[in-house]
Amino acid sequence: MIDGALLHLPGIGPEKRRALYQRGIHTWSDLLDEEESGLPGLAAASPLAEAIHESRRAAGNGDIGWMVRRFHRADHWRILDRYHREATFIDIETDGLEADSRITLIICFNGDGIRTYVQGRNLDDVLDELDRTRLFVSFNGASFDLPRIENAFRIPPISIPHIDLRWVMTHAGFQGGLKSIEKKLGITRPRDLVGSDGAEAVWLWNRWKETGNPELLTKLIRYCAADVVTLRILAENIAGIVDGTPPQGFDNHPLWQLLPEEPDIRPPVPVQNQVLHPAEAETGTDPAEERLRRHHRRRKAQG
Amino acid sequence: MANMDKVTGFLERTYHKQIRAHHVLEPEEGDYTDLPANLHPKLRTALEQDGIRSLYRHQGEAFNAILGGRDTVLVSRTASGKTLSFFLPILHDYMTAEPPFSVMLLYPTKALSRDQENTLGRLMHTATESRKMGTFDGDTPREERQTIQRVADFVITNPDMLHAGILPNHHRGWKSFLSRLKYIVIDEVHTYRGAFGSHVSNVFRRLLRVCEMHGSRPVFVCSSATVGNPGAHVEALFHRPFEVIAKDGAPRPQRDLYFVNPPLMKTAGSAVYRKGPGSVSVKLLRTAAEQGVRTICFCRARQEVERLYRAVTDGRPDLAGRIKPYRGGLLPNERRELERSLFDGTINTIISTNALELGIDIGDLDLCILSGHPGTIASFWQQAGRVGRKASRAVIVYIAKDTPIDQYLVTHPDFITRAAVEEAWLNADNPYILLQHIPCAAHEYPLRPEESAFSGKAYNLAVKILSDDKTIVPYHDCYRYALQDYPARGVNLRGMTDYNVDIYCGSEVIGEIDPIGARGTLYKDAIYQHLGRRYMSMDLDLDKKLCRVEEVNVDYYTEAVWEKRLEMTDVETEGDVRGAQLKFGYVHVNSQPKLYKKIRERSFENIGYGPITLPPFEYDTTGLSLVPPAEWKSRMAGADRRYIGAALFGLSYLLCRTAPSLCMADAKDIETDVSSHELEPQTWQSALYLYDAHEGGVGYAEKIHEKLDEALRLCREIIDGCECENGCPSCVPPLPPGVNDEELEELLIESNAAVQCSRSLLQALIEGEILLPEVSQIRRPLPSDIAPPPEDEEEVRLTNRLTRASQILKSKREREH
Repeated sequence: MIDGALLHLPGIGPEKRRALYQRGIHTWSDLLDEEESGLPGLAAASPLAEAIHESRRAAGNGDIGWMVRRFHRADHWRILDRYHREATFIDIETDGLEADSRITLIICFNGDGIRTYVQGRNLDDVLDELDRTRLFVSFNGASFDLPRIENAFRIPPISIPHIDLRWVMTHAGFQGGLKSIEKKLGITRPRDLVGSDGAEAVWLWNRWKETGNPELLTKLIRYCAADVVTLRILAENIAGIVDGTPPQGFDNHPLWQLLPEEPDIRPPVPVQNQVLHPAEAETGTDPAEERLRRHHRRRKAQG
Repeated sequence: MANMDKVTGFLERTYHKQIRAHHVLEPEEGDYTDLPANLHPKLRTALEQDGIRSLYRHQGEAFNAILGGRDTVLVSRTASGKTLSFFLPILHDYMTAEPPFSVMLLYPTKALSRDQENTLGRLMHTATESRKMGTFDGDTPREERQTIQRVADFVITNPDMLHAGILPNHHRGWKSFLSRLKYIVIDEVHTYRGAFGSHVSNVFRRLLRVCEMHGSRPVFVCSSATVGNPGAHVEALFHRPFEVIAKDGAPRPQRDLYFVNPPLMKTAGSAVYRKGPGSVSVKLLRTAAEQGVRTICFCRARQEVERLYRAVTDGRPDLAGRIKPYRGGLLPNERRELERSLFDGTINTIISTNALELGIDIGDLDLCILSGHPGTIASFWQQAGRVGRKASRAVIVYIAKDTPIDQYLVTHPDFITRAAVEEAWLNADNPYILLQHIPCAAHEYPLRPEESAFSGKAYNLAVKILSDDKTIVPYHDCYRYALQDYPARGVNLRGMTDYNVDIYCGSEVIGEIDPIGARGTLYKDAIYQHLGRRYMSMDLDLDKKLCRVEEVNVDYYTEAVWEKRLEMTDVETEGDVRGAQLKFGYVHVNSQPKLYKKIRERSFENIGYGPITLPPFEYDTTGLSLVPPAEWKSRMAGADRRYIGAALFGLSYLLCRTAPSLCMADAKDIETDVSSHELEPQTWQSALYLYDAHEGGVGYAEKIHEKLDEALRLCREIIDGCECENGCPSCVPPLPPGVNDEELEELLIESNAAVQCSRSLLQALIEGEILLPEVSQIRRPLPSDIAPPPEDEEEVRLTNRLTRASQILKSKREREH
């Protein structure tokens, strides 16, 4: 499957690829093997051959970052198909629908299960999760989730490979939001979550903050987790979806059973960072420093 | 210029007894150079269309320095072609260099930004037909902001907006602009001094840091009014060497500088008082307006401007159209309108606060009246520099007020022309200020192990403190900002008042004022004057930030009497300096207008009092207090009890002016005062206080506390080195400000007690030696040596005839009735 990614190769666009398919050429090996492929100069040193070898090396080394960067978006599903077991599926919720709304909740889902990061409790711990992630999968995350996360934690642009399922699905012929894709493919969420949407998520958070009713938080977490479960279902079945032969029976998918029944907010993982900063070298306190500290506390206390 | 001669003739004739001096500043030739040979042809054409065929030498030097990629500071007077100095080379580069290209232009105030947008925009459009220039400040409509970010190659803004609007969005909306940044122009750079300058310096560190991330290395181009240390000042501000272009090549006509002291008068009760500057300026302004001489008159306070305007135009409807008041607190459109009318000549006389001291282009003026001394030598020349750009002759009339400084200056007229212009100080590594900018920097981008913009002990300490309290937290090998807010919003570059009180008349906002000013001028029943109209304050609501006024017709104005109390609430260290008690700690400052006086216009009679019931303006800051040695006090008291007060007020004055140089502050960042406390019933103890004029303190008093001995020695050096005989503003003036005790005032006003007692106290504090001051009386100032000019006989004859004719007509009318 991975070796069917042709669109990033020099000289190959959708037209050319169609022509190659008609001649039975589907993979990098086919291209290299096809002595009479009719492609100009498929000699060992040609740019095309170089690109194929480089792609093979990256695939062989499992260099997901290289593939995400270099593959054409229409071929991203191939990476997903191969690496979805190693991916972390992510979704965030915010406290409003404005550009400067704050993140309230982040759900991450991978082989280890579903983890929940909640504002005011353990939100910052998601950064450790990011450090352990090889591949991110989101829906619309390129323009929403990731910039929001970078902004919320004031960190430099996240360099972890990222596949945005929105564009993968668009190339597979499924335009629109996640809910409409679920509908088209017959994916049904548990009954308590049917009909919930982003606006309700905002309401749930704000209402929970007002009342402290844990059921509201649970519902919000279940709603957000349902989104990432859908992402994973899509990823696991991506080859069939792209092929036009999606499997049936999504409604009773076993993954739904992983949705949390109550808020499961794990204690933070101890931070292992070794920071060597000039400030660390300074030890001991002097009166001027003490005054500065006291001044700083006063300023903070005054807001 | 015949009209000007009539005005000076009037001045010399009418006030010859009050003119203390008349200096003639000789004309200066212009120093010119050709337009640069390589100047872009379109720019050359645009200049030639405006009649510009050569440059002043400083403009030519600036052209070469800036195009040579050197960080440059231009020191020049108002209206010496400063705009062309920096804008010509930049536009030339813009038209010849390959894009990408962008320029940021910073002005200290919004008013200046708008003014400059017009001036720069015009030249830019004529030369390049490009309109890619925009002003980005608090007044820019939201929908325009994105367009400016996306399209503009030239963005005009101010340091506050750079700090809180541009830098926090450097990686989003401003990324493209910042990555193209080739020049940063900072106009009026001398205003960035003291605590404000230290803040701004850190804003620039942050700017350079993000520029580096986006791959740009801008060149700095600054313009400065005269300061004592222009090169050192910009280097402290921007942490890099600068090329200083200080020789001003613009020509200057002869300038006549008059020093006028209004006369002493006796009231019926035979108390002596001095007439106000209005006794001279009202008639002088009328005469100038009648003669069509373009005039500016600077007053010290906003309501003073309004009162003078009222007095000048009262009963003279013919002048009302030609004279206008100008000040802060007017609405922006009112100010723009006034600037335009002055520029195009619709009005020829403007009465202004120092709001017109900075470079707003109001065209050429001929007569400048200074109603009282503006406070610094730099301001004096900056205001006086408003006249004499093109005309063949310019006149400056300085009218003294009845304050100690004014009285000294008017009786020692050489002081103004001789004294050095003040230096500008700042310290970017002030830990208290740095501590406020590090969170902003971390918010903009995580702090990396090596930061080229920030380093040193103060930085490391700030990082440590912020990381200990989890404002910043480790992330990989960096520190990231850990809170969910915008730290820049909590950092106000200009001190404590960052909001305005709106003044409503009915449902219409007629003006605005800062909350401290509102306490002093808009308390209930205060008379507020606005563009010549009188209003009475009905209600001042500081919480809602509004004041309601109604128009009234009264013949008095009101003046608040403030009371200030200082108290050291939290003593941190306590020590002994040769018997004197020295404390450092938190000082609670409480100043409150207690009552107001109603003062009749013209006669200045006090016609009543009223109470002011407003919450005090309070803040906590850091400061030191000093109680003189007991032995010194008892020796002084043995000679004259008042010597103690004389010494404390004298030293207070001196310390307030010397301390800034020891802690890199500006004069307005530090305050000193003498305050008394009742130790036990009937026993009062006076102490000298020195504290930071910033909430929470910014470390200035702390520094002086550390270096007190050095500060005291510097004070003594100044007194010993001063050429004056009996005290002067350069050391200790005979009557230092703040004295509100009649007996003490009586001693000080006619003796050298202030300077002698200060010297005695300094000697006790530095050497532990007690010397009795040698106090003696001061001779009265010498009478004027200006002879009245001969009267114009023809005019006298004509006036007499017409007066007689008019009387005949009048009696005839009365008969016929």
